[in-house]
Amino acid sequence: MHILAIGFNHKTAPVEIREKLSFQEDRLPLALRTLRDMKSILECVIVSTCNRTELYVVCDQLHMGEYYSKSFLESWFRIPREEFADHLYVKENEEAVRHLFHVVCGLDSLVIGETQILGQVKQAFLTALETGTTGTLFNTLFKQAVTFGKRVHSETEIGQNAVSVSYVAVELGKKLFDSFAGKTVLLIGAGKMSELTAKHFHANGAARVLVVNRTLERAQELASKFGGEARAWDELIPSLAEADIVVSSTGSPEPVLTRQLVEPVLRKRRSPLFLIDIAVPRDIEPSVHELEQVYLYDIDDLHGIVDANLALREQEAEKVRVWIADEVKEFGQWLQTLGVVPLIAALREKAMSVQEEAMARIERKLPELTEQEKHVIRKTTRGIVNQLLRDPIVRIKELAAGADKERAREMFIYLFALENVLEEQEREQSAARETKPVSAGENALARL
Amino acid sequence: VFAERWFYDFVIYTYALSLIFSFSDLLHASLRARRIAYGLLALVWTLETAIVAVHVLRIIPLAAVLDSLLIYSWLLISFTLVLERFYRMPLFFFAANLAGFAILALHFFFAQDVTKKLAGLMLSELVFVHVTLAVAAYAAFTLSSISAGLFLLNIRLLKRKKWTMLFRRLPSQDRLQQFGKRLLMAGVILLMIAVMLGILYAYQTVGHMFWTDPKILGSLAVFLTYGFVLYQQVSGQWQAKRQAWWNVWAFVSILLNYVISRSGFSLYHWI
Repeated sequence: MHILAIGFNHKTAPVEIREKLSFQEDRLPLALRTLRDMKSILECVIVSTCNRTELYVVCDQLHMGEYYSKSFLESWFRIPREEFADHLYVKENEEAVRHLFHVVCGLDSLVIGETQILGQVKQAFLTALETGTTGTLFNTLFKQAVTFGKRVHSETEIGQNAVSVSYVAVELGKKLFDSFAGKTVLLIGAGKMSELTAKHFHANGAARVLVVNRTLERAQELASKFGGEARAWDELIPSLAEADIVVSSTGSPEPVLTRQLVEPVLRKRRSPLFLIDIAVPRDIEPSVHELEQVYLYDIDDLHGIVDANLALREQEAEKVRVWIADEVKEFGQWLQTLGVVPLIAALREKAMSVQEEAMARIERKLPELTEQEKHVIRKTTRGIVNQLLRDPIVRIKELAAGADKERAREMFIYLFALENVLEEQEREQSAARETKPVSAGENALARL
Repeated sequence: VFAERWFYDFVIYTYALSLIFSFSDLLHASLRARRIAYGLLALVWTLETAIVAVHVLRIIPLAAVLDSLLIYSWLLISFTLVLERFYRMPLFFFAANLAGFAILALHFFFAQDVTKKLAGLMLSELVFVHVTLAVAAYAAFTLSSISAGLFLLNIRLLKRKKWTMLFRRLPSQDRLQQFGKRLLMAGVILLMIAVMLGILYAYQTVGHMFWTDPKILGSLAVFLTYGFVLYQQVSGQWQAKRQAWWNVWAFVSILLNYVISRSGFSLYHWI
């Protein structure tokens, strides 16, 4: 069995391709069933977000799995393969597993370390689980990946520290104020950027928003979005006295707040004044930052913090990459032990049939046994069987992860004479495969 | 007798905690602080009532005598609790609490008309309570000064726009200020009680000359220094940065006091 990850993301495909090849949420179960019914595909999960579309499949042959996965994309979206083939990446086995771990940690995201993708992968897996398109392999792999993603976000700072200019302003404000509850935000100018910044402050608890703009109508329009108060331009200085946080983004060629204007306001206050100047040219005279209790940051300062935070995330990513190598190794070890699962099942089946035969003989020879006595004997004999099996099972799992696994496997079959039981299992599985319609997925796609 | 003294210590510590919370409510009206202070005082009242009841009913033979100071303190607490229930007067509550505490401390630790053995035990207990409260006060001051130091570091990094790992780890200015102020408040009250008990001890051991002891003067200097810093914080006359610098420098008074207590000139050789 093999694992394949086939898809494209923001790095490999432009938005024109991504929007065409995006799965609708309500049609995802049907898509999953259709994909699973394709030839060679045994398990599948589809991750579809605005930045990526990925098919994770378990297949019995790599080239067949890849071919039918691509056929599925072509048919489902009714787009010729040539249109998207160049944007697709195909990752096989260990690479596919590694890729999934990178995705859940946000290492493959547009903004490194973002947490949303973890929830999206978890949801994609749950949808596949509910639809019944996952099996032993993906149930283990995706659970491990989601758990790992959670661990990464809780034990590292990869998802912490803001990486957008507007949110950095809020983070910076948190170094002054424990909470924005009860704080007043003053917006000077009614531009888009100041609106976005004010939105973050408001969402973080800022109680009052004042908007001062040269055009009062525009100020009123913006203030209404936060339940705030619009004020005329000549009320700027009195408004400054009321504010704790000021966000300025006018298009003025000259500073609108000078040191001479700010200084008198400070005489009446004891709390700090936090000034964000996102205008170019700047609205607030830089020397204002020198005043006590005043903290002024312009757009370059905010970009500087974004860069520092991104560098920190990159540092954390390095740590996570080492952890991923361990996780991939761990999954690989589990996968190797999976090869001996049929042997273990066969051994159990044989041992239990021996135990059942022994029980039947006892019941024939001792017909006067009560139900309770039979129960005790059955429980005891099963206990003996289980105890005898425990060590060989542990040992074969260990050997299966080693280099000489094939010889160990053969020796195990020989020692416990499992050939017949395994043949029987193989026959049953072949019969089950034959009942699966080979072209069921293709037929379903043709009907769409 | 030993167990009985531990019980008295518990009463004194509970009373000290009640004083801290009532002082906090006095400086910044807080329903939570008021409730805690009231609850602790009610606990002290219950314990005192139990002591009085044991004396009156002679349930267990007690080493301490039932004197008028205990009844006086019990009555003070009773009236304070009743009045506080109906009228919101934080200053009255704190002052009455402080007076009640002083009287109770006199009752517990002023060895008068008692056997020599009991007097020794009372003095030893007095020293123990005095030292623990003083150490707790110094710990609170130290933490408050650390808070003020971090506050200054926060200002420095924000002003210099240094986005280092240290900056990311720093708490907000608001939190550092609040933390520092609360600790300062607790420290001032604890040290005030400790100084009161220290004077009581010194009076009983060296008599009227205790004022000349450098350790007592040193402790008073620490108390006055931190009291001044607290006053400036509460009155809000100074900018936060100046307050923080004072808080950091006030720590020097603790160090000086430590040097004095180790100098050999002090009567406090039991530390």
